Amino acid sequence: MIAAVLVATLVQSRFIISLLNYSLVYVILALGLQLIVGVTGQLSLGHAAFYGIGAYASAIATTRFGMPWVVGILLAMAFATLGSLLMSLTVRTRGIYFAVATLAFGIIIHLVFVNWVPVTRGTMGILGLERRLWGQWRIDSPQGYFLFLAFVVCAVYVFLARLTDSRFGRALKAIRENELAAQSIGIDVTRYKIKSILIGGATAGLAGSMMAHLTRMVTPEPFGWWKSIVLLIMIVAGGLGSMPGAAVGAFVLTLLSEYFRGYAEYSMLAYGLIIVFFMIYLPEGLAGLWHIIIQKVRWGGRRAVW
Amino acid sequence: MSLAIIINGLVVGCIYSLIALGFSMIFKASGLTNFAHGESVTIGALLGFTVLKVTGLPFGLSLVLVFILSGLLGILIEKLAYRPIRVKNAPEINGVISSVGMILILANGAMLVWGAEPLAYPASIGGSLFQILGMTVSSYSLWILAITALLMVVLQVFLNRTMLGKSMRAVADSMLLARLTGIKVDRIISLTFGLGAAFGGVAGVLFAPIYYASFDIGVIGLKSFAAAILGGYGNMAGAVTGGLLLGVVEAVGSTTISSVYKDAIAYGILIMILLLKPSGLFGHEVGRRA
Amino acid sequence: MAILEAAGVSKSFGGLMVLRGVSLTLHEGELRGLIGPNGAGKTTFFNILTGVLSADSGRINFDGQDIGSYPIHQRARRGLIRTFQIPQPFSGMTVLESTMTGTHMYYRAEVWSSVLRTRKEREEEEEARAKAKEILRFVGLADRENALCANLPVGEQRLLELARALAAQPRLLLLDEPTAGLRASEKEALKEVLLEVNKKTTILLVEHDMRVVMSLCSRISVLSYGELIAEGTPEEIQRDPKVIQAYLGEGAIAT
Ligand SMILES: Nc1ncnc2c1ncn2[C@@H]1O[C@H](COP(=O)(O)OP(=O)(O)OP(=O)(O)O)[C@@H](O)[C@H]1O
Ligand SMILES: [Mg+2]
Repeated sequence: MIAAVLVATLVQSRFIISLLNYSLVYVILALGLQLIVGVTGQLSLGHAAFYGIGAYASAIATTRFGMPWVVGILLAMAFATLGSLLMSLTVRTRGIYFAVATLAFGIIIHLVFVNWVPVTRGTMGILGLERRLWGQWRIDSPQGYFLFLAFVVCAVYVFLARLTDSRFGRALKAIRENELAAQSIGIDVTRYKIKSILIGGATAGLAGSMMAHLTRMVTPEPFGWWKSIVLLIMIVAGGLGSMPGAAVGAFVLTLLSEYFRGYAEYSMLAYGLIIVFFMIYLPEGLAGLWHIIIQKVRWGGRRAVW
Repeated sequence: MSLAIIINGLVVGCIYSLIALGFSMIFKASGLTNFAHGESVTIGALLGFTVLKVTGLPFGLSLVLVFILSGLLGILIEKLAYRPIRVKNAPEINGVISSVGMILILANGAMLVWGAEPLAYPASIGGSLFQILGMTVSSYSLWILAITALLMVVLQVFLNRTMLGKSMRAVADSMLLARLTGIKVDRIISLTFGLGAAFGGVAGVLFAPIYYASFDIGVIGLKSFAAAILGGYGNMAGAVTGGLLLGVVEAVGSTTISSVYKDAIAYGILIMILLLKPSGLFGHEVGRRA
Repeated sequence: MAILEAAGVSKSFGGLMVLRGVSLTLHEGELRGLIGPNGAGKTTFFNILTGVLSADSGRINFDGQDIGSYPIHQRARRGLIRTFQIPQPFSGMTVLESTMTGTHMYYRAEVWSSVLRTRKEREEEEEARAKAKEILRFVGLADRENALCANLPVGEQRLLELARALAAQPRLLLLDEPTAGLRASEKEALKEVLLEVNKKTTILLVEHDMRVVMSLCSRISVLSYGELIAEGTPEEIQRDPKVIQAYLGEGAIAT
């Protein structure tokens, strides 16, 4: 947070600040997805749907109903949670079937964004979003937005990191590692899976609101299924199961892809190559790499078991 | 509702079936659900476009050429992206994630090669329209039906009569047993990926004239996956029936319910099946391999 | 008092009858052996008792309640805890974490108390950690606390299974071949552990090593081709012609 304040005061370039803002939104998304995929082990390919639901909920609440952004954020999280509840019906399916069901769910929601014109204004999108937080209190400067986002990211990070490191988190990891064994010691697997999906979905809704008011508009385009996959790539690169990994993965990859915006055609290709590369050579992601380095240092290079 | 709609549904259903076969084959042989399988359709359609344009070969021969090229590409991809993970005995999810990455590589690679604009096949392929039993049908539709049927027969003969086909079935039944009987399992899996991709490629060439060829048509793969599940995942006959059924249901649904949500219907069916009867409509026991 | 009453439990896979009307009653405090040749249906019986599989017919009473329709975790919550013949470790967790997970049902902390780190939550975590450590010391894994479960050798995997099960504070502990793959010295140590556990917990022990069963159990039930063919003290079982018959040709009766 202190670093964020420093950055905000020191960096004057609008370009860099907006780059950072984008990246922070993706950090929120990746953290939430990490809880579902990396910690609970449920390969969700529908995360972008809740991101979109949050963006639309917030946009509609603030533009059409003139509500302050704070209410928009809360509604974004509420609707995204509701959407997740719907998707969590699919927890009864297992393994690959869950992945496919969530992918299909994400595509259906995206179709709704595109085609439910009276509400979402279809591909024209909702424009002119304000950043009126509450009353007359607004965040208009990019630096201000950055600080606000940094605060939100920290809150989400602490929330999820603590959650992962607790009785609750152990139950989720137990489900990831071995559902049968988890049940055999009294863990209600279905309930925990659903909770993890709801929490992940709520954070995606939050991210949606953040992105909507960052770009001041909402169109269906960023919420397609490929976005879910990009998010997956971020957490894979960062290291499945690791919250710091998710944050770093999302931050670095977004920075890179936004920085190399001119080469957008290549960025998806690069994402693909990254994910395959990591799965083959470094399935533990950057977090795994970090562990190896730490171990090497600590053991003077003698042992690298982890 | 007219018979023509059903015929149309069957035609699209044939395409689904061809793709669904690849999904099931690959799953049966290697235990992997290859999310990127839909991209073999993309590549096939685009390759077909180039082959037709550059070589001027007749459609039938182009089809054969694409079959071979896609097959080779399938084998190559298996070697590069899936085998290294499979031999490490990594968690199942890793292979799936890798295949998700392959989607991006293939689709966007295709975009770099062929551009982002949809490419239309020569109109002559669309065939002529004619009347039968009071319906207007294009001769191309009949071609699709005929070629699909032919491929099914060839596949059946291949799997049941040839040594290679029998080895493939053996691997699909039990990797361990196959290995014990001296079958080179890795090679067979690689060939199965090739065969699946070849079928996908042909599906792409058949599909392009009634749609178009473009880097982003690979999502048809997900619908075909729905078809494979519908008929019972890992089951060849099921893949075909599932494909035809999905084609018809979708055609009927989009005229009677909603055409913008046509895709949503297919995906909705997919979710329903996964929730209610993951073994497929006619399935008994399918699903995850041990 | 009977803690477990299974009556007429039958199960078939396809055409294969694996259990044929198995009835078994366990009394509180017992250390009962369940033996039988390979494929007799012992593991299947465990799977049915714990809810992994559902029986085709028959009734299961645990602690006076018919639990036949309960899902796995609810049976566990009533104190019916098992280990697995093929260890089912939480591979990516450390030994300590895995054992702490075993205590799951005894604590309440959920989302908000975990995130806010309330005093209650911190106390619970402290207690869970202490309990887990104590159990690890008890089974002899104290020095492996921070090892990753996946990295333990076979023998320690068994102890790890046992530790996780003990952390769940079973009322009835079902052990599926806990000594398989253990060295003789390890088996001796485990026997001591089991006797100690038995002071507070009823145990149903599936075991192929006859020396272990005969020396530990006060009563033994014998399953063969899905039927209970005998029940009695170790001496009675060793003399029982039906048992000898069942094992004949396998040469599995060691003593
Ligand atoms: N899920 C299943 N599907 C089909 N058959 C099964 C299944 N589980 C067990 N069997 C069969 O049921 C029979 C009993 O198996 P079970 O594992 O219960 O035996 P067991 O007494 O535990 O043997 P062991 O001493 O080798 O562990 C065996 O013939 C086995 O092949
Ligand atoms: Mg057994």
